[in-house]
Amino acid sequence: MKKTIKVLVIEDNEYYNNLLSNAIQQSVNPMLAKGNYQLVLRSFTDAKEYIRKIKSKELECDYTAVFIDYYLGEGINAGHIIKILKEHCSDAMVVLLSQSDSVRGKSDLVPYDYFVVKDKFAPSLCGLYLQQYIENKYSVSLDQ
Amino acid sequence: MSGPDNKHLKKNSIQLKIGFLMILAVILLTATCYLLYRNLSSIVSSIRIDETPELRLLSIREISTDIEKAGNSVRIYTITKNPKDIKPYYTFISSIDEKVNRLGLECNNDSVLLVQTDTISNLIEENIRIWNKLLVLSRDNNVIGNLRQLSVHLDSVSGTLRKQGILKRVFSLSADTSHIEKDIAADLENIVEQNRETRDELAVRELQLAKNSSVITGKFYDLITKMENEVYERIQAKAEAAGVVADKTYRWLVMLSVSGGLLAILVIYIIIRYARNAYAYQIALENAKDEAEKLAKTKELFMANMSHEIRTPVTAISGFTEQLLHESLNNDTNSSLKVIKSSSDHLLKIIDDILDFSKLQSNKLALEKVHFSISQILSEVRSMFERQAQQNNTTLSYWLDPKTPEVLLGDPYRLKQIMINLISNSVKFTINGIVHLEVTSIRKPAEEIDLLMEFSDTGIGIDESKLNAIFEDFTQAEMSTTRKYGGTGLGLSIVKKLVELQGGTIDLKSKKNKGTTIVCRIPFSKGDEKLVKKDISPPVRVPEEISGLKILVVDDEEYNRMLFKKILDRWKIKCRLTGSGMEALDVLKEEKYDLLFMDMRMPGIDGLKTTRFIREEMGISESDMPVIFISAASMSEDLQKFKNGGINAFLQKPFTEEMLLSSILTVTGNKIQPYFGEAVVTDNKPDGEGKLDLHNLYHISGSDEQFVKQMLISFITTTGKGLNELREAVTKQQWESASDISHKIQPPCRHIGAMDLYNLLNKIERTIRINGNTGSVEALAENALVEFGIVSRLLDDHIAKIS
Repeated sequence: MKKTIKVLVIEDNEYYNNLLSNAIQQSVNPMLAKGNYQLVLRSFTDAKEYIRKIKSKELECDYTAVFIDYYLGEGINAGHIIKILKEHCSDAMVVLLSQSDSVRGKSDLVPYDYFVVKDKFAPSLCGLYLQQYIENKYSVSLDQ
Repeated sequence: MSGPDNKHLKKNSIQLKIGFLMILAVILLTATCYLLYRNLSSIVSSIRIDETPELRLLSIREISTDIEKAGNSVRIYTITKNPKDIKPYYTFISSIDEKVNRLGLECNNDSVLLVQTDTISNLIEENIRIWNKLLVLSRDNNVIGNLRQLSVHLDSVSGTLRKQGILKRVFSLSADTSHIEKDIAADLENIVEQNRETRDELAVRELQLAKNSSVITGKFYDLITKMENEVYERIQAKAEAAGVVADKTYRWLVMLSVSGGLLAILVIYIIIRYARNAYAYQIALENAKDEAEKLAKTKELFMANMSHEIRTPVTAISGFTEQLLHESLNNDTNSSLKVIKSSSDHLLKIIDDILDFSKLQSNKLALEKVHFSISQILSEVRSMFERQAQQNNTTLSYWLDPKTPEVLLGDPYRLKQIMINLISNSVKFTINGIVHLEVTSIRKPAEEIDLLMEFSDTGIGIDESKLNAIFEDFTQAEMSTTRKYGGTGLGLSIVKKLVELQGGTIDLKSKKNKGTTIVCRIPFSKGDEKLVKKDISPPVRVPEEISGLKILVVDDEEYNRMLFKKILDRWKIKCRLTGSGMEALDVLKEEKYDLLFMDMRMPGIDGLKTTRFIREEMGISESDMPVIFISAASMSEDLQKFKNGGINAFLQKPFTEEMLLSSILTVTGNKIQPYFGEAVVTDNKPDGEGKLDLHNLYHISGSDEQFVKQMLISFITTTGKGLNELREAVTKQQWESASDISHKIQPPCRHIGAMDLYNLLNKIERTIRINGNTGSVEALAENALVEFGIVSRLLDDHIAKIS
């Protein structure tokens, strides 16, 4: 039976959302090629919709890793969602993204594992973090 | 009653119980054996007795058969008149006497049977008479002749037979025989003569005679049957008696067996209960022992940690206060700082005393054996207290006897500690007086001497009544002394223990308000001047062209980062230190560097992935910024993988200054083949009895003791923290994490020559990586913690020496 790697991306910018999703997909491709794993990637641009679905239990909350933008529009920030997420999947890796490095200071109360500034390296950095996390979690090596 | 007494009584009571039961068992067994023997003997003897009646029965049966045969023989002869047919009768007659006599002998012990035998004998006699009559009636002269011949024969052998034998009685009287013959002949003649026609009537009479014989034979058989029955009854009675004895034996046997079985069960129960209790006590004892050992280890660890945890901040307070005192501040601040400095120094002294005392108490204090200069130590000690003595308006002086060997072999640090403690006391308690130390030696054979040190002062002295207690732990002469002069009361106790540890003696003489004299006598060997510890190899010559380099160091281990910083600063190379791959990536986004030292294994993203990201995503080429990989592990297996990942060279931890320089030159200079540094091989004299080797650290520091001290403090902090994390990871069975942690803290251990600790950590890492958890990791982690306790104590001692 294949192990499932479930990844959640919440980024209100559709372009950046796709960019992140693509980088994440690329990063785990070497692992998927080994045949024992499958990737389930869910991405949301609307944070409110995600919260609604989680609260109505339309979605299960059992993610391996979560990539989430800090400012999600309409007064919602990553802190709200991470709080809900941590109640259900406390061991999920949380990567917080933001345009500005200054958010790092503001996000003190938000429990996250990595902070990524959304520059040109951010998508591949997210892929790198996911790769390393999966390697450590499943004790496999993705190095070629 | 006390606990041990109770246990002793309980143990004795069990022994008594078992002893009593065993004796009971032996008695029971003996009784059973005796009973069995007695009853079996009885049965056997009754069986033996019963053998005889069976022989008598055989004799009776034989006689009975013979009689029957004889009867038949007579009857057949009377019909056939054939002489052959009468022969069995003659045989019977010739043997019957002997057989009846034998039967008589066999029944000799039994009066009833003897009577019966006589009756049988009489019946046989009567029967024979009848048979003889029958034979005569059959008018056979041969028979009469034969009978007469037989009678003569019997008369001749009658001496050997029974005097009143049957045949003798029947045939020996010839007169009787002739009388019968005459009677019968007369009868026959009468019958022949009177009436030959009455032959049939005669036949009838013969038949009647035969009937009479049959009746007599029947009587005889009745008697024999009666006798047989009697014998059988006797046998039966004996069998019944034997059966009764056997039943009785059986009952006894069952009873004794049940008792024996119950006794055995009782003994076994007591023994099992005793064994179980003993086992439980043993387990409890082992647990208590383990617990005590664990507590001792915890105590050691706690002491080691406390030494660091308290000493490090206090040292920092003292050091920074001293720095601030050198700066020009206003008087108030200055005096406050002086108080802080004095207080922190005092606190340090107390901590040192307590730690030393603890080590001495637990016999954990190890002595060094190095060559040292006695005059150098004296000079250092004097300079330490010169200022304080001046403040007390006291003259401080020492005199070293020129005959005393200049170089001695022993522990200079502990000797210095003795001097410091004693002179410190003298100076503290002497105002406007004199403190003097006189050092002489007494020669002994084989290059040995006794160093004699006389510490005298003209201070407040000690009351003579308190002299005996002065070397006891936590003791000062008077409570007021503590209040006025401070101190833990451990100083003299530590001195005494240190002197005795070195095989010496200490004597104290003192008079209140007159002063004190303390004489220490410690044995030393003569030392070799050439072997007196002098500093170290010359520093590495660094080419000028590398001075302008800008280097980024990525290593999660603080000790390594500090080492890099110290060396690179000395070489005038700009460097920035980062503790993780993520941090390094952030730095590289903002700033360019000429060279990157990258640790292989770090929390978060590992070194290889970070380097790959730098090369592939950030586009920083190998020529723009070479990357030197640093790791405690051997690189040979994954060499190609690392090279493909953009690594330019390798530096194995722990490294020497030369190895570091060589690796830098390799990647920045001529771009020659990468330098594959080898692990530091230390052949210098080890510190702490082989537990440590700080020579390379001293070498790197360029004799900067403060740097060494800082590095050692950093080592204790980071390694201690790492080991605690390791223990937590092992407890939570997070093996991957445990392996990573043990990997991470190995290089500093190796660098300071703490090889036992290094080997333990290495074994933990290898055990997890090769076998997963095999159950030995917990024990290894505990051992590593204990080993760290030892190492950190040695380092604390070393730090104290530097201080």
